[in-house]
Amino acid sequence: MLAWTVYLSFLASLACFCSPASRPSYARWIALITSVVATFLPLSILIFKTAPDSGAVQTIVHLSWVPSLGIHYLLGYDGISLIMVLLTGIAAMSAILFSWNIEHRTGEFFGFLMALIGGVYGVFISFDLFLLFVFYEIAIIPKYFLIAIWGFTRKSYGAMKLVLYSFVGSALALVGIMATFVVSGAESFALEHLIAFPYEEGFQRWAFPVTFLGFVILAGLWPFHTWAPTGHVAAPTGTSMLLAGVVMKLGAYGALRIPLTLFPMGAAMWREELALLAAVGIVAGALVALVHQDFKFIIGYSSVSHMSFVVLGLLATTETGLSGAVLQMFSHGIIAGLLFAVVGRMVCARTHTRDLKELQWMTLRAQLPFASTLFLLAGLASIGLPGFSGFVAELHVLAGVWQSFAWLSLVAGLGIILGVAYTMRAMLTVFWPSALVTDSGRAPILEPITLQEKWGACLLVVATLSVGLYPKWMLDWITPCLQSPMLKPLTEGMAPM
Amino acid sequence: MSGFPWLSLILWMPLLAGLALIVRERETGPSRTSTAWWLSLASSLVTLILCMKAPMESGPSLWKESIEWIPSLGVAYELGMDGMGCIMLALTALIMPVSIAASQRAGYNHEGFAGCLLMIQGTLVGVFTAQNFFAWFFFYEIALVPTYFLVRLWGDPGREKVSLRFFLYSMLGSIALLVGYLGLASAVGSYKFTVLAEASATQALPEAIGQRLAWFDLPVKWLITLLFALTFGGLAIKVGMVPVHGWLPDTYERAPTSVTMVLTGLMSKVGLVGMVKMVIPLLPYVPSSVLQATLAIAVFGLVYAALAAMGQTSFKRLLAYSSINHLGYCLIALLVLGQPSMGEPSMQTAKTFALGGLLLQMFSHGLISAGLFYLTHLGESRLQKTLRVDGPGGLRAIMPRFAGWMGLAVFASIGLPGLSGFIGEFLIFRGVFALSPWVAIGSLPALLITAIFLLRFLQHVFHGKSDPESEQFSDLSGSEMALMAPLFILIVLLGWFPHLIMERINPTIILTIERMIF
Repeated sequence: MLAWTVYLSFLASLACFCSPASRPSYARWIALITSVVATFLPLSILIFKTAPDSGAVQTIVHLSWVPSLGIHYLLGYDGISLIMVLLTGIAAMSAILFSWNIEHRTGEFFGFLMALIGGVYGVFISFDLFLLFVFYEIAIIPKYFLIAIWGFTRKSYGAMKLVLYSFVGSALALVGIMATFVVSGAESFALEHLIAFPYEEGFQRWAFPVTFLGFVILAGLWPFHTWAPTGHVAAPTGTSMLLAGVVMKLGAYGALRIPLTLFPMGAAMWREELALLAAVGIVAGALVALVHQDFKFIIGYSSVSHMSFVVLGLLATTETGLSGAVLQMFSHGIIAGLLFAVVGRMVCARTHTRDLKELQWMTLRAQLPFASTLFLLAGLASIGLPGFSGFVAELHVLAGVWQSFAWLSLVAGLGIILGVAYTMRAMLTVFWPSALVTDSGRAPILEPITLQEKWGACLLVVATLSVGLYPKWMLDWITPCLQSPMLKPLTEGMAPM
Repeated sequence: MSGFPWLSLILWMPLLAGLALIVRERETGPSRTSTAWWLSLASSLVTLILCMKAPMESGPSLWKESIEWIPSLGVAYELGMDGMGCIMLALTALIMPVSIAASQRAGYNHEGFAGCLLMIQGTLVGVFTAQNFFAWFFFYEIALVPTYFLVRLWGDPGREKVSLRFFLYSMLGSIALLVGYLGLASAVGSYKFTVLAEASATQALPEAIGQRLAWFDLPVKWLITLLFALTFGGLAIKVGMVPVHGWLPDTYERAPTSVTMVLTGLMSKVGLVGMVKMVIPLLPYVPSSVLQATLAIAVFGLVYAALAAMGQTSFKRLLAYSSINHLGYCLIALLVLGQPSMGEPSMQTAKTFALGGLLLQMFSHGLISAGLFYLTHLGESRLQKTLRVDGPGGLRAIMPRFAGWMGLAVFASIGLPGLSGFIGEFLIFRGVFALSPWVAIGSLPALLITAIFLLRFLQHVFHGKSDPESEQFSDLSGSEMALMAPLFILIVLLGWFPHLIMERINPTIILTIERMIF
């Protein structure tokens, strides 16, 4: 049933491309309805299958595709996939709601958007590595067009940079996957076959870093992160919500599924060096966000900082750290979406400026009370206030990191404090400027928040609160997967020293 | 003990009602702030009844509730009332309705204002009853947000910087505490406070830290020092210990007076309660040199705060420094518990005194400082400007009731025998002197300085030269006095019958001290 998320999205993409240009609302509604239906698929599994299973992978479809090379059309899911599919659904719905105002080539916009979403769904439910890689590539192409056609300032630069980084990353990942296939001599690319082979230490020593780096480039690991802020800023709001919310997760998800699962020994050899990079990313991203004057760049760099928590959690390679990484993937997907929605669509698109100095004159709190309340909530969620999902996730990551490399938890803690500082700085400058600048008369009249925007925002707020207040429902799906035989070698080898 | 979730009721009812009031805030239409007051009062009455009904001889905790929350971390939504929780809940129940009523009289007739205070009441119940770190931290952090907005939106001019500094300091403390406690929790393998205490009592803690927290093969001594620095330092920011007190005087001064009542009466105690739960188990293992150094800082800090208070002209600021000073006694009482007692009975007794004094002082300082700030607020509402040490004098003749109440509060704050402030300080000094004489001697001058600056204030404001324009000030009204009467009755009552409180906290004290036998 989950496979229909992919099929429906691609069908909708096709339908949007074919929809008449004179009736732009057709494309909007097609996209929205498809994404709503696609979200209900994982949701129904979550709701009706009350007792989570053992964490084993449930196969959906298994067909032979290129028999001579052992490539299968193998779709399946486990708890982690399910969570990521749900995240994609929620992010897609709100991204579409926040793209409602696109008037320029509407059909094509939603066509590309749905193709991107379809590719993302595909990655999350593929259990044949070749197939996973195909979906991974499919997701890259629409990003380019979405940014290059509908983007803002320096859009072709941003789009090109993003696509080049993505291709470099996927090329590295492909090298790793191919080498694995050849070395193992398995007759198929299916994960379950590849995992059965005991890779020798020398092979893991180079295959792990190559594959891992290939994937985490897309997760924005420092120092390969520069595509992310540039791309996020250049993209139209709906796209940056998806980019930060879901596409960056592809990298982290891929890193968990492939290098960490296949090469636990390699992970043990390299994790300290790589974790150091992640910790540097947390602090560096936060520091840049602390001094930047561009509102969208601040959010972009905050994404880099928060995604580094995911990578750090993965590299802790303890059960707690990995749960934290998966929770943070979901949590950041929602919160980053919310932040980009407020900053991109509600504020910058209305005021036509992204400069903090300009924005403080806009009397935003009086004119857009909804947006300022929303940014308050999103900001509090982003700094990890208890009650929102970010807190639970970062707590897991920190606890996991304490068990593996204690001193990095101090660095990560520093990153959280800087996170408080830059979020407060942006929020206070833009929405609560000091009394001196409030009554200036310089502010233009801004159009009010639309109904679609309100719905999209509420959706995301509910999602982050539901995990933050009662994380058990999500953890019940994640924990069995981390204890499954597939990830056992990783966490067991790394049991606290 | 299962049954009706009473603690959840007094936690969530004010929290959610406060949230609802904030969301529903309107510019026009009848204000619903009196609803907030009634809700707060109702919740307080329930709280007080629960505290009264708590059987005294029973051990660890009562009215327990437990719901699975985050299974992967082994964290549950666990509430329960122990001896310390009991007195802190009672304090919350006594202060919050007064604060909300005071805010309405001061003209802050905003639903948002009352809502924020109600939210704080709820979260404080959570903090004081939490049985594990996660629940504790959850409510502790949430409490920061309404506090920040109360100062940011309704404070005196200069509030922008002050509130931001308050928030950043608090978050710095929170994160240090979070990182530090996560280390402790990974060492003992659980977030429950009781598990940490057990690990400390069985002397398994240092070994667990050495085994589970590998960090460049650092000696265990250093790891413990690091964990101590993070947890104690993080909480010390909240208490306002001297080198990290930078946020406190400004915040107390600029915040609306009704909010300052809550800040000093209750929020500053949150840090101390946290220390009793999280730092005490660690104390016996902290290297002696580190402990002595911390003690020296604490002693210096409390004398410094007393001296700083002497130099203030604004009465609120004076009280802020005096508050740092009074809580400084609690800090030294806490830190001397780390002195090795080698199972010697006299040392154990001294520790019992110190810890008992700490808890009593917390309770009594809550009552007295809330009373003092409330009176300051009443005085300021007459003067229409801030109460100053060198301001208009001779108020005794014009406002005899005000002068009487203020005199009582000031003498309680100085520590006059027969009032509650005395018992706490006496017990603390009794304990500290036996455990570490130089600390007690070093702190003594502060007692004297406190007496000097408070008496000087009384002398000038009530007996000094009167000002012609203060002739028309009205004295306190009956309802104003009725509101603070419970606080003052307790101040007097506790001065004579400290066992009213002691019998509730004794089981906690004995249990805690027994665990530090070595």
